[in-house]
Amino acid sequence: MDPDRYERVKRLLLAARELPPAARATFLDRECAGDDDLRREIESLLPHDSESPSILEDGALERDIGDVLAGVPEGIVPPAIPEHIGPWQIVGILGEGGMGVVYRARQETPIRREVALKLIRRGLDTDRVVARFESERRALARMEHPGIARVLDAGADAAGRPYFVMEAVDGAPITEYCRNEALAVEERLELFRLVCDAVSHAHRRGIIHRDLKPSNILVTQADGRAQPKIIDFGIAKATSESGTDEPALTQEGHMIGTPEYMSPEQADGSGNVDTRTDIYSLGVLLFELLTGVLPYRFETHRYLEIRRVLREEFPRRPSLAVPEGPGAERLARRLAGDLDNVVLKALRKEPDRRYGSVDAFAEDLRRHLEGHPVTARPDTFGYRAGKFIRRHRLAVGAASLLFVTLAVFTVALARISAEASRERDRALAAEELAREEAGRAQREAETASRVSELLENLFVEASPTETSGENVTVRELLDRGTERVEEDLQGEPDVLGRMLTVLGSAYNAVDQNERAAEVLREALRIREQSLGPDHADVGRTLAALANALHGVGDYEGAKQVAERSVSILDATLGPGDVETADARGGLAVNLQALGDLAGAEENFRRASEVFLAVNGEENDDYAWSLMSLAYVLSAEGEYSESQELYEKALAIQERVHAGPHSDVAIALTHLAMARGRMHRWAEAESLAQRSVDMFRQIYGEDTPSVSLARHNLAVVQLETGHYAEAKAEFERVLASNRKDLPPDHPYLGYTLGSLSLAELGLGHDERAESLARESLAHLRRVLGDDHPRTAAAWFRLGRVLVGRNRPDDARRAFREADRIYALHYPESHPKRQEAHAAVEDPESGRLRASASPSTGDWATPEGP
Amino acid sequence: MSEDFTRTLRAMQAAGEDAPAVTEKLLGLLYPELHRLAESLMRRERSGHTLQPTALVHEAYLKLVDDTRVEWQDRAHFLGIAARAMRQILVDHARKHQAAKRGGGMQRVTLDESFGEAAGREFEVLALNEALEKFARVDERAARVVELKVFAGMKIAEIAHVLDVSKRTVDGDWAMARMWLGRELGEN
Repeated sequence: MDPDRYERVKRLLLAARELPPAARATFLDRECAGDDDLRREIESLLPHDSESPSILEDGALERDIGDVLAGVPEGIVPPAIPEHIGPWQIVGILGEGGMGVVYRARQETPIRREVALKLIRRGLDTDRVVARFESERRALARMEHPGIARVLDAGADAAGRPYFVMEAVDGAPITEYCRNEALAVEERLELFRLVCDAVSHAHRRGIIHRDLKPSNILVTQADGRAQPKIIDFGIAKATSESGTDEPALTQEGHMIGTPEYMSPEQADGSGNVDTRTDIYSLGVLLFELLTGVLPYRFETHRYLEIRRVLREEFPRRPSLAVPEGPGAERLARRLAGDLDNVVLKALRKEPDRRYGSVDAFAEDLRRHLEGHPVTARPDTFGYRAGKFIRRHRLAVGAASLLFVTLAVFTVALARISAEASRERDRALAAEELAREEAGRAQREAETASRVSELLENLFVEASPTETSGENVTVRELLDRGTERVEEDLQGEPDVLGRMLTVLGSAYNAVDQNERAAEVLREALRIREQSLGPDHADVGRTLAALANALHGVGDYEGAKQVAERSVSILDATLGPGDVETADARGGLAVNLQALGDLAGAEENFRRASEVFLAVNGEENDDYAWSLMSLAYVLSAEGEYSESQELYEKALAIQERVHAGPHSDVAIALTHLAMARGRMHRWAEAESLAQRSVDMFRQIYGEDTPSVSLARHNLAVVQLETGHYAEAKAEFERVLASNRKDLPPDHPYLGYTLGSLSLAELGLGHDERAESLARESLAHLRRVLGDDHPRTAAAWFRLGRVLVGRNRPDDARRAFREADRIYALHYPESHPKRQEAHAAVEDPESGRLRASASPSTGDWATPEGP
Repeated sequence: MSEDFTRTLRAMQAAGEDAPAVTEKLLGLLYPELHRLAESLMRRERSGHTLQPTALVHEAYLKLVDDTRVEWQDRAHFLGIAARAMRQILVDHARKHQAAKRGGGMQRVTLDESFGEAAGREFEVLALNEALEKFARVDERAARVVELKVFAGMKIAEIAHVLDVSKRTVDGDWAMARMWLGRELGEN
């Protein structure tokens, strides 16, 4: 066919298939007028649009390619089938897999029965495998459940390979069964609950499966009903590499087996495997049954990659994971909300935060099926969004568009989900109350989920894949969203007020603080109007507004707004509520910024008490409030108590987050500085080094967080007289500051000042002085003449001038520092005493290794 | 191996996308590696778990290409070549197998029902290959879409990236290909 003609056919075909079938004839009449050949051509092709060859379907050739490539049918002779294995007569092969061969076997006496016999091929220590199996044998024998295939026996064949004998199960893997039968969501959930029932039966007898996955859950027909049957109970434990659940690896570090259903604690090899490990695997299975895809896609089976993903990445919400295709939208809507929450609860990384038992998991599904609200709530870090923003401001400011988009998405969603979940809780509680009360709570829950849905749509539509590569900045994304909700939600003030609060917080998260304040003011106006001035939601919006104003630098305004938010939340949610405590933390941050250290201390203390009372010691909110408090105390010169609190906070963070985590790394660098203030330099150095290493592991080399930690490590090196090392580190930090931070960021001033002292230590006097002056000029410009950090810069300049043997010039600098400190600190404050001493005797400010009082004019990561 | 491959890939880029000699050479390097990888992957997978061609291709890429020295576009090229390799491998196998059958070769014992299915599909694979060759003469890009989707298991968005066209274009090509091939294969 000539190319022009083909192009024409293609164009018309593609247009025609978009039309409803009834309209196609008219369309073709018009377009093919007078060209019968063209029309015949098109009509011969069009029917194949709806019915194309099966070989073109997704995944049709996957298996063939794998098999052919692996050469299985080619050249490999199937292993000779043995006649007997142990006392079992082998009658055929059921299947073969990575672990070994499964035979169909028969026993004649004492009873005649057919079983499945699994012969393990991998080189394992047979005696130990069998011994481990024996140790669990009695427990296994006590299991009696239609959903569990009984494991009958274990032993070794003539060649010394271990084998297991099980009840033979004739069925398809559960995922395949659901696909083949095209089961509806409800039917899938019912089937899944039968699986839960069986697992629960085993758990009650102390048996954990450890390897739940579709190929181990086969669906059979019993009395015309589908009955899932779980196979391989007890086998994963017996065959685990060392009996300690260490993941089995190949020599190249690849994982043996299917990592897709493995829990984070299994991937870690920590040995902390319990019933919640099975709950996690069931969560993966439910995710797959509902969406057809897995929560994580591993690019490789490299162990380190798998472990990283399981530790660090969060699964998508099932409703957002539904692949494109007919019915996808409806399915996504069906899953959004309750089912998302249930699945994600089972998939939490920390076992303690999953369902406590399989029964609780199944019970939530029952509630859902019966139309009741579920107990699973979205992840609870939502109400900490404010803290997230403060903690990660630096990271967010410098990160890539993608990261920012994700961060905004996370913050916004988390915030809204937390609100939704609170309403959900209330709805649950309200079930017991009068009907109208329940109705009201339910309406609020509906508002919350409506908002959540709107928000997700907004981000999904604007995500890079949905806009075909069109570059959307976060700002545009949020602008578009704000515009749209303002248009769409007129007449729905409840939803609108909430949406604008979320969007305002999102602007805040990406440092669009002025715009954030604007949007939040609008949200405030709407909420005040529809809910009255004293409603809890008004208090929430005020708390967000305080964050935004803090970002703008309007500390006074932020303080006033925060005060009002605290007083409203005090009156509505109560002083003991975590949201109130969080707002109080926001107030404290601003009091501290305004120099009211006593006020900041008091509010941090009260917030901290609430976190402790509500959630106990083992939570990072409490740890963060301790760190905030420690930060204020150190500013107040209370170094000893400050150090103790940092110590306590670090211990909690380390317990809460097993392994590397930014919260731990932040606590480490803070504690390092606190140790330094107490002159415990050796400890300071090792803590600072650990912080650098951990940040590097988490974020990669030369990222903003690493730079901060590196700066603090260099301070320790400086104070212990390792000037050359300190200089190299400071220069590296400076380069990274220049790359990542806006030119008028105060950190640049701190780093320049620190570098000047390193140069001084190396005897580069002139360079030291010019750096110290540059630092001072920078901080005066950025923070003002009377800021304590500016005082610190004067003090550093004084030290440099002492080093240059110009005591009179030095004294003038120390005096200026003293003047500024007097504006902020009481007479007893160590910094004032230090400044007094230097004015009296400039020599006391001379740079000496480990001898300097070092009250810390260092850049430490901002407290929350 | 890795050195070799990276160098060839670079040469290919320098020579322009469709320099057939370079592609041929890359295929020659890729084929045994894919084969080896598939074997080791198959050994690792447990029963009931099929090998994902995409996983295989990514794995091959990691093994073969020195990531630090190639550009992102190279990766797209790589995926394109890998798809061609997959197709070639499958077609070769089907031909050999058919020949063996016609020659009255020994009856093969298979371990698994699905191999029976696969054998039944050999004819389909060859028919698809032939139809695809014909189609490529009419609409080359759409034929490549089929190759990437069917033989390398890629998603529309990935294909758009590899071919450097919009997702919409790929969607249209895929729809057209399905209709054209549907008619072609239906008549056979």
